[in-house]
Amino acid sequence: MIFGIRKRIKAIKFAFLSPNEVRAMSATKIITADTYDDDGFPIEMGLMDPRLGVVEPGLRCKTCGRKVDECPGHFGHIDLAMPVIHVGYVKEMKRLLKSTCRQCGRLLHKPIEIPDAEGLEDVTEAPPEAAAGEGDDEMAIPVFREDERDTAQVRVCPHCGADQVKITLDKPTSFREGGHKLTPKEVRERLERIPEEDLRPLGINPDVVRPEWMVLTALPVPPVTVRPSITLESGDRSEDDLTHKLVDVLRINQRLRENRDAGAPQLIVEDLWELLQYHVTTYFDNQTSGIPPARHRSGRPLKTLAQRLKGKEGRFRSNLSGKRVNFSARTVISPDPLLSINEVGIPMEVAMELTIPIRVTPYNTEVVKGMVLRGPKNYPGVNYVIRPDGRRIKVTDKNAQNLSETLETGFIVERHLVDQDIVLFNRQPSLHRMSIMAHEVKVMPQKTFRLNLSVCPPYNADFDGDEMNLHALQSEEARAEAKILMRVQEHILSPRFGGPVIGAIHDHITGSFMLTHRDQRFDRDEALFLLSFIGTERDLPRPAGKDQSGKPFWTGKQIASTVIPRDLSIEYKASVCAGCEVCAREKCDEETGYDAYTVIENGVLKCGVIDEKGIGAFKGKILDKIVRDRGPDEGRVFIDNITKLSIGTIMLRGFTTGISDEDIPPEARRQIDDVLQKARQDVEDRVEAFNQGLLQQMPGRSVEETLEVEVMKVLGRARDQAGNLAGKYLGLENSAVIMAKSGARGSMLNLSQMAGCIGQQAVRGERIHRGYEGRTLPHFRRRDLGADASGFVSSSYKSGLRPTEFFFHCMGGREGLVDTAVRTSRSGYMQRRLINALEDLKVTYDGSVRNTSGTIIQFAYGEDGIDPSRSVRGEAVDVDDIIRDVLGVEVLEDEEKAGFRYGEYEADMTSTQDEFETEDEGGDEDFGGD
Amino acid sequence: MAEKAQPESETRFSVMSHQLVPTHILLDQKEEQDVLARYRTTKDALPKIRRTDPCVQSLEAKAGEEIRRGRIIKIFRKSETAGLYFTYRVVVD
Repeated sequence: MIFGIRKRIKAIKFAFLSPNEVRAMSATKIITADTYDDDGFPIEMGLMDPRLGVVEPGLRCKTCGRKVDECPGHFGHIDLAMPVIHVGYVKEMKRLLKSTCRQCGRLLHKPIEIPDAEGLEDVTEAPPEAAAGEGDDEMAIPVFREDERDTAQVRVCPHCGADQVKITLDKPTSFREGGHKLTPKEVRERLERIPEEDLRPLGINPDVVRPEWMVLTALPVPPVTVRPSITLESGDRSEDDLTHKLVDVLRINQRLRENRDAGAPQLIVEDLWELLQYHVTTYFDNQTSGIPPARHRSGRPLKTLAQRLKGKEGRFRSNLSGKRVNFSARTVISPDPLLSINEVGIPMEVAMELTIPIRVTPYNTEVVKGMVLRGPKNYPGVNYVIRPDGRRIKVTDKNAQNLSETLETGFIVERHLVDQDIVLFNRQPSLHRMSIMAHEVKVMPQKTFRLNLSVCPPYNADFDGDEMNLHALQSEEARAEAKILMRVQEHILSPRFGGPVIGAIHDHITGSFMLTHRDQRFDRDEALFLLSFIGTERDLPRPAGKDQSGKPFWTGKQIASTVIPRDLSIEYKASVCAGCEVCAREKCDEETGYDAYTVIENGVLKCGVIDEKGIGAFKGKILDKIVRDRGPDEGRVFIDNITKLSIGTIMLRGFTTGISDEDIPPEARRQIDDVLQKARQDVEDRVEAFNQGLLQQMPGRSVEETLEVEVMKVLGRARDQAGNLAGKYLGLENSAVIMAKSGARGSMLNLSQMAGCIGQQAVRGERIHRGYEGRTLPHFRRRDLGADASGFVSSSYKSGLRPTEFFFHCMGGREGLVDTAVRTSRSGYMQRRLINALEDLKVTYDGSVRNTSGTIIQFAYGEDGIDPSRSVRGEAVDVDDIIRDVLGVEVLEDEEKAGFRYGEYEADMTSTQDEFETEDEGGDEDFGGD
Repeated sequence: MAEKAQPESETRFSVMSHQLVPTHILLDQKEEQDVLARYRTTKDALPKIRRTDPCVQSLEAKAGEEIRRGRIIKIFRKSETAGLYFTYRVVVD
């Protein structure tokens, strides 16, 4: 038993409306297809009959006497001249027709084979208590899928001996028996003949359903509230699609009746009957396959009953599973590095539109009165006042004075958003719990939402035109809950991989690299300028030394240390680490000049740089440690400070990159060309060997495949060599290299493709072979298997591509785009299905996973009961870290042996690089904006 | 259609000895009560196992008694995250 649930749904019963029920619930019979008369009044017994409900304000319903919004509307009905088949039930009808006799209507089984109530238990393995303990209504009703197949074989009725003819469904709504077409009337007669006792085995409860009701003789007409007409500015009436469709039905119904009664030729009557069937069918579902959709005069297909419910825009998905909300705002986002990660900048316009209800108490009466007095147009004011009797009064400049005076304890006042209010901030697609986080309001000028750059990764936001939504919370509980559970700082560690998702990105990393790399020196003014970025008051540390001219200087490491918590100690290899054979550890700086071994002792950066591995989103180890050991408050402060410091540094020193960063000396260019020429020759040789049949086949591969593999290997190596040659001339004095090595943006591969050689283009993981007969482009000879003819691009992005290369590059690029498009749509659908399946599961206080009915799904969440966002890269405890903390000894971390370290986790997940992939991040950048 | 479990002979293959089949244990009355008390739940909220499940049949043969509907079976599993994970299943028809 779950507490709080008083009523449970025990069963849901589905039944058909009988024609009598349709007529009984009908407020009026509808006979004319006309809606309004010349004076604009609804016609009696027309589709807009006033007895069907009220839509116009001020009028009263003729059926129930209530006003608009009080009267729910009332059904009417149309008596059909001839019976018509209901599209929704054709499958069911086919099943029934097939398994019953065409003459006597009995189930096509020998009498003994028809299981009676006692026999059922055996056949269906129904649990004994289900049949014994409960009444007939709840008895498990078996549906005989197998029997259907059996009966299809029966040729002669075992009851009356009538020959059976095979019945086929002629989609969408007609049945055919042998060659003869069954009219709806005949179908109805047959269904009428099925005796009640044969219905139960067919899965139908005869107490509530008669099968012949599937053939319509009376059509319910929905109330006008369901299909309101709209009055355009021009004064014209525009009717709802459903009304249009019902008009069609009525018109044809009328003509059919007249023709039939006048004894018109069979053919004409049948045509009209068919037409009526078409209209009724499209009235239910206008996308029935096999018939053309009914269209509006403009050519737009009508939205009929099924279309109102189905699909993403249907009632279920867009009005029941999801709803539009009040107290929300949406606008473009832009960055503000000086905001805290917890904050969000809100335009004044938004702050004055969104409100928060405040209850007037003796303690706040004066303040609230002041706000009401300012009215809705002076910030921070009040838009509405709600009196204790529930009346809402809009505050205007005129009544502000008055309202302010009448304000008393117990009133509720809807005041403007002010700084520090808690709001929810969201960016679609909401794939994460981090896609909706709680922020503190900071009201600002200008018209965009402003957010700290460090929170871009969890939202996956950028500023190329992205828009985000904001929701003002309306209750104290909601605000408290949001503040505790949803605040940005509570989501620094991701439940996805137990590391930080919020951290430094791009320029933050470059800046922090520039601040901490090797021996950066800053004079007094510079040091103070940097520290001024961190709002809080703190003393300038003691200068590190004096330069030649005797002026004191401070080191970047010293300044960076000011924001590192006092007693933090950590040691790791930074992103810039070149992965030397033997690590020089603390002496990395002297020996290699990379300064890649980072040591922080008691909050002092002893050596090494702080780069992506230290503070980056996804990878930052310092960040990880601070948040894990000291909690989100300190984590937030650290992120705010270190990023501000980095921004300060990058502003102070200046940083730029351009295509000249990829300049390499002509000497290097020559070397690269040599390498590429050699590789090309190498490929030629192999192709030659292949043509002469001298190529040594690789195990498990054909000769052709062997050639491909080898050529790919040669060209891949050539690209790498070219990259290395280019890289030799691109040192850490180069801005682009700084970004690549520190992990701020781009990779060395990107650089080598710009400076050196782009490399092999691939389509479907192979060199390019498609195109003309025997060749890829007319520029090549047939059967040319050489490097250039199969998509090897030896140019660099900087030098520009030759036409053939450009073409191949486009082929590869297009595949990348298509792949990402396909991936996103597929993963979106998978996400939807997963969410639908898992939405009601929760972890209870005892650690077990249960659904809403209390059924246990898992006895301990994740089998180990560990919250992944509190875990260390998925592990419950970080033994190395504990040893270090307790003993003060660093456990040597052998990256290779350790295998999976979460620093590489992101790379593992996103990397689609194989040896000759060209774009390292696929469709990562799309500059098209949203 | 409850088939009677064949007695496990030397020759008949026993699923329980297969390396991929986790250990199943039949709980007694007291243990059952403990489990239900620990999770503050009732038997209908537990995951289910068929009486015809080969493991239940095998347990039946071992216990030498019929395992009735409603008995609880404890299953020990190897777990990637926890090392050892146990789950309970209630026997149904």
